[in-house]
Amino acid sequence: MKNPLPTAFVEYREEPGNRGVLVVGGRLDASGTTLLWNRTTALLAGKKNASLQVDASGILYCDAAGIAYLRYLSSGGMSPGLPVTLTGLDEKSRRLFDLLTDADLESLRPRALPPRSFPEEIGAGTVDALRGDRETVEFIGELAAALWHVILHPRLLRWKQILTVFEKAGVNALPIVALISFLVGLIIAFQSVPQLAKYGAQIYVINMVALVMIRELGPIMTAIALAGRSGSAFAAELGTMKINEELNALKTMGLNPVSFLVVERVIAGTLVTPLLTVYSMFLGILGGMIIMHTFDFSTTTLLAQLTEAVSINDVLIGVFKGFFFGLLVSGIGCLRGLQTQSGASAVGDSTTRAVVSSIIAIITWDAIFSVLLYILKI
Amino acid sequence: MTTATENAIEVRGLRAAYGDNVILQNIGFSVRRGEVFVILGGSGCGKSTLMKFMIGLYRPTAGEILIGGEDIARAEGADYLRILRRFGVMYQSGALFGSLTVRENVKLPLDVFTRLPEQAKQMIVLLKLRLVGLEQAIDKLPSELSGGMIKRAAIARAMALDPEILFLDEPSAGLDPVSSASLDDLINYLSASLGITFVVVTHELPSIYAIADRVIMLDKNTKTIIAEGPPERLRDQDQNPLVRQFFNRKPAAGTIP
Repeated sequence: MKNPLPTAFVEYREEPGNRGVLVVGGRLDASGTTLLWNRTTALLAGKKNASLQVDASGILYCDAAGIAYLRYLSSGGMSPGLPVTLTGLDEKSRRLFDLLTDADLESLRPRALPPRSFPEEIGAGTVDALRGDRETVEFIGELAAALWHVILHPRLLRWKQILTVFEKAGVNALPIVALISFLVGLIIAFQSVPQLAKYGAQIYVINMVALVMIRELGPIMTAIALAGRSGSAFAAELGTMKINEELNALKTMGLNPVSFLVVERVIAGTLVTPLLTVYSMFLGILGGMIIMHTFDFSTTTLLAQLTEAVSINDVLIGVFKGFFFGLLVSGIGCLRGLQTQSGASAVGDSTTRAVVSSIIAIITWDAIFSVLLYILKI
Repeated sequence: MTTATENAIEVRGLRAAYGDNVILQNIGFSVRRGEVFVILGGSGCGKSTLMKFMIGLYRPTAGEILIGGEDIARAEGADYLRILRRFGVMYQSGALFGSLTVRENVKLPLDVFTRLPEQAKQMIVLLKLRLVGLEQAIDKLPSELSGGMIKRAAIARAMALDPEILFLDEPSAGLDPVSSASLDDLINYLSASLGITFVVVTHELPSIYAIADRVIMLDKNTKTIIAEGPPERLRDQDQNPLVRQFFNRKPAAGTIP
């Protein structure tokens, strides 16, 4: 590109009567102005003249950056305390120049917000937390009412939608659940065999793997996989619908978003999780058995050991947990989706919140179950 | 800088296609420096497509698009970036960054492409927002703005780096007549006071009469330009019935009344 205009320049000289004169000229575009800004600050540093005159008649081109420079200069930003006059600015630039005032410089100076006092922080935090709790309670109530309504009128359910969610959240999750469960079973067995071998009790490793997989890890890992795959998807789907005003469209059609969108997701998520959990238990135990095999235990011995160690109660507890976690994860995913605020990052935020709250809820409730079951001695 | 007599934009023999689907062919026109140039035509005739090719979002299968004498259709790397600096674009829906305030939206190009001091950048932002009349909304998020304000903020952002050319895609789409008319005033004001060249895609007749120095009209069936000139002349004197229909708001023959 040809560039016949010279770049920006600035010169400083002193005239009789202790007057400083700054001659600015050339091409005041963004790069020229950056140069000028630094050079002028250096030129004027420590100057103690009675006044400063800025001669702008040499300016050939001046865009908004140049205007900002001239405004800053003539408002005394670079020569505090000196009266500054600006001369020789052409008509067109003058109009732009006049759009900015000295007062703007003051208002643009960065200001920090006064920090909130400690009691204020506590108050604001409490209000936020209570508002969140209120929304949660409302949601649980609406969901329960909608579920009850559906149980009374099963024909209202859109079974095709439920089957779609079943496929996405269940069938498509089989590989990842299989991989995680199989490897975890394998790892537990592998780490436990050397320890129990000290007492000659290797055979009990399979009891341990089976009970841990059935009562704890099977349900937990399935639920976490569900939170990552489907809870997040529910939140993103509902969040996008909310931003696109699709939820408002449903409301004006007389359809409650909770009964129309949430119920089918919650039903599908709740029904599919126990199935996935059983699958996870099975693959975890399989992983353990394969390790036991390498330590020369026969399949017959292991199966006999398993029938003795595991009772039907253990399996029922695991399945119940799967059922409960499924309800928890799909409910939280939908709630976070409905709580989506506006803005570009809002859907991302609700997705993150869906997964984080789900994982916290899963682990907390699992701990509660452990204590309860211990007290009840099941 | 190039000489003042040269055209801001020259399009020659342009053929625009998405895959095998040819949208426009044999397109040739020039935009003079400092004028408000309007691309118009019925829905689906390829107005927005033509603009997307002119700003280099897509590459044409044939022809050249000279912006300030350089062909954006062939430019790569640093050349391409330099041509991009010559123009700003306002997209139909504004395309403001939703997580940034109006101030941050306008300041973003300055932060990325200049090394100006913070004070200067802040003053430029304020100046641009004052030019478009949006100073009071400087610290608002795009979601808090009305339709007309979003377009103004988008124009301010497009102007952040002082481009010679502004492309506006459907500036009056979705606006009430009052906001639409005041946006037309803004375009005229910016054109007169800053000498910016405008390329505007629109089909709003009142806007066209208010702002256009010259227009080209595209046609869906022939996929090319069917009229070129000042809007008043096309309305009153053009030989093509399609053009007169458009300017006189007559329905096409054979449609249900």
